[in-house]
Amino acid sequence: MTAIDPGTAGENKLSSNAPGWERYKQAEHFRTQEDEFDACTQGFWLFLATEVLLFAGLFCFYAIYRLKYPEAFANGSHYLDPFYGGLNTVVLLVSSFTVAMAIRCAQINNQRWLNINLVITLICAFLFFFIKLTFEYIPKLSQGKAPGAFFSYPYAHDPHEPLWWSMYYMATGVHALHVLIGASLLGFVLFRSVTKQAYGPKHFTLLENAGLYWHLVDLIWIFLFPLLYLIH
Amino acid sequence: MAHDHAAQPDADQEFNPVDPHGHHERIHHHVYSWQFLTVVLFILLFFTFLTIVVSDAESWLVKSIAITIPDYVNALIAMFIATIKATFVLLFFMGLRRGNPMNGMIFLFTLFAFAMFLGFTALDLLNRGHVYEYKAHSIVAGGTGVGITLPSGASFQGPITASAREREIERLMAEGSPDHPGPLSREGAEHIWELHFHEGHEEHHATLSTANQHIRRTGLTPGLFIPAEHGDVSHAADPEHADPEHAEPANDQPAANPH
Repeated sequence: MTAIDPGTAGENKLSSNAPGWERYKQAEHFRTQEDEFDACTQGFWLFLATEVLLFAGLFCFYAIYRLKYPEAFANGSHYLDPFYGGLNTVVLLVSSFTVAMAIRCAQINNQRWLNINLVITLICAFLFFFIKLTFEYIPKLSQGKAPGAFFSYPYAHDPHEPLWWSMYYMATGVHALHVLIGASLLGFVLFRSVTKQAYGPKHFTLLENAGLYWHLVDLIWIFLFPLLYLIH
Repeated sequence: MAHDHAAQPDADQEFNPVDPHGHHERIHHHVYSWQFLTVVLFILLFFTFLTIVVSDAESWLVKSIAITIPDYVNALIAMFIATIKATFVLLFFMGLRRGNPMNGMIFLFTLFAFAMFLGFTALDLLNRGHVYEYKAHSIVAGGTGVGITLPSGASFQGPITASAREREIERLMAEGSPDHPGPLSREGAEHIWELHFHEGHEEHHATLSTANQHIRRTGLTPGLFIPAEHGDVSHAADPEHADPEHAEPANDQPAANPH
C-alpha cells in the first residue's frame, strides 16, 4: 500500500463478494489500517501486562508458602505426575505454534490453512482440558486432595499439604480459566474467518490479539509446569 | 474533511499532507516462514524435554555417583530453562522481535514490576528470621527488645534510647565536652548529659502537638507509652514484665532453606 487512501473509513467501495478482510476499513480516527493495528495491539499488550501481574500474585503466593513450608510443597509436588504436566506443556506449545501459523496464513492470505490451524488450536485447547480433568483434577479431588478446608486426604505426610493444594488449584484454575477464555476468543475468530473470511493480509487485528492472548496462556504454563511438577 | 484531499490529485509528490512523516513506509507485519516457526516449536519442545530430564538429575547424581548438589540448583535450572522458553515464545510467536518495539518495552516494564513484587517479598521473607530473633525477647517500656549488640561486639540490656544515653555518657567520660575536657567522672559526665537534655526542653514541650494522643490504642505492649526512667533498666530482662502475647512461639521460625 504505497498511496494512502484517506477518508474512506467506514465506506465500502468493494462489492459484497469481496472477502471481509479486503472490505474492512479502519475507524475514522485512524490514518491507516496499520496505525489501527498498532494501536489495537499495543492496547492489548497493556492488557497482557495486567494479566502478567495477576499471575504475579499467584507466583508470589507460591514463593511465600514454598519458603515457609518447603516439606509440604515437596510432598505436594510428588503427588503430581510430570508426564501429564509435560503432555499438557506439549499440547500448549503445539497450539501456540498453530496460532502463530494461523497468523502467518492470514498474512499470506491462505484462508484454508488459516482455518485448519485455528481448528487444531481449538482441539489442543480441548485436549488440555481433557488431560487436566481426567488425569488430574477429578482423581485428585476424589482422593480428597482438595484445597484448604475441603481437604480430606487421610495419608498426608505434612500438616501443611492443604495449603499446597490451595495454591495448586488456584494457580492451575486461574490458568485454566484463561485457556477457556482464549479458546472462546479463538473460536469466535474461527467463526468470523469461516463465515466472512474476516482475516487477511491487510486486516487481522482480532486474530493477532486473540493469538497474543493464547501465547500468554502458553507463557504462564511454561512457568507453572516446572514450579508445580518438577521442582521437589 | 480528509475525503476532499483524496478526490483531488496530489500535486506535491514530495509532501503528503495526510502522512507528513511518511509513516506508511514502515514495515510492519513481518511474515516468518513456516520452516522458521517449526524450528522454534522444536526448540521449545526440546527444552521441555530437557527440563523434565534435568529435574531428576539431582537424585540421579546422589544415587549413582554420590554427588550432592545444593537443593536450590534444581529450582534455578528449571526456572532458567523456563525463561529461555518464554523468551522464544515472546520473540518469535508473539512477534516482539520484529514488531512494535514499544510493546517489548511494555512487557519489560511488567517484568520489572514483577521483579519488584517478588523481590520485596523475598526481602521480607528471607530476613524475617532476624526479626523473629529480635522480637522473641521480652518487650520493655521504651519500645525495644531486650537490648542491642553493637558492631564492636559490646551488648547492652535495656531500651535502645537508654543504650544511646549510656554510650554518650561513656563517650563524655572518655573525651569530655568542649567546655569540660575529659576524662570525667561518671557523675560529671551525667551532669553534662543533664545539661544537654534540658537544653531548650521547656519551650520544646510547649510547642509539641497533642493531636491523636487521646485515641485509644490497642494491641500495643502495655506501658509502651509510659516514659521510661532514664537508666532504669532493671526490669529489662525480667520475664514478669514480658507480655506473653507478644512473645513469638519458638516453633514459628521459618525454614530458610527451601528443599
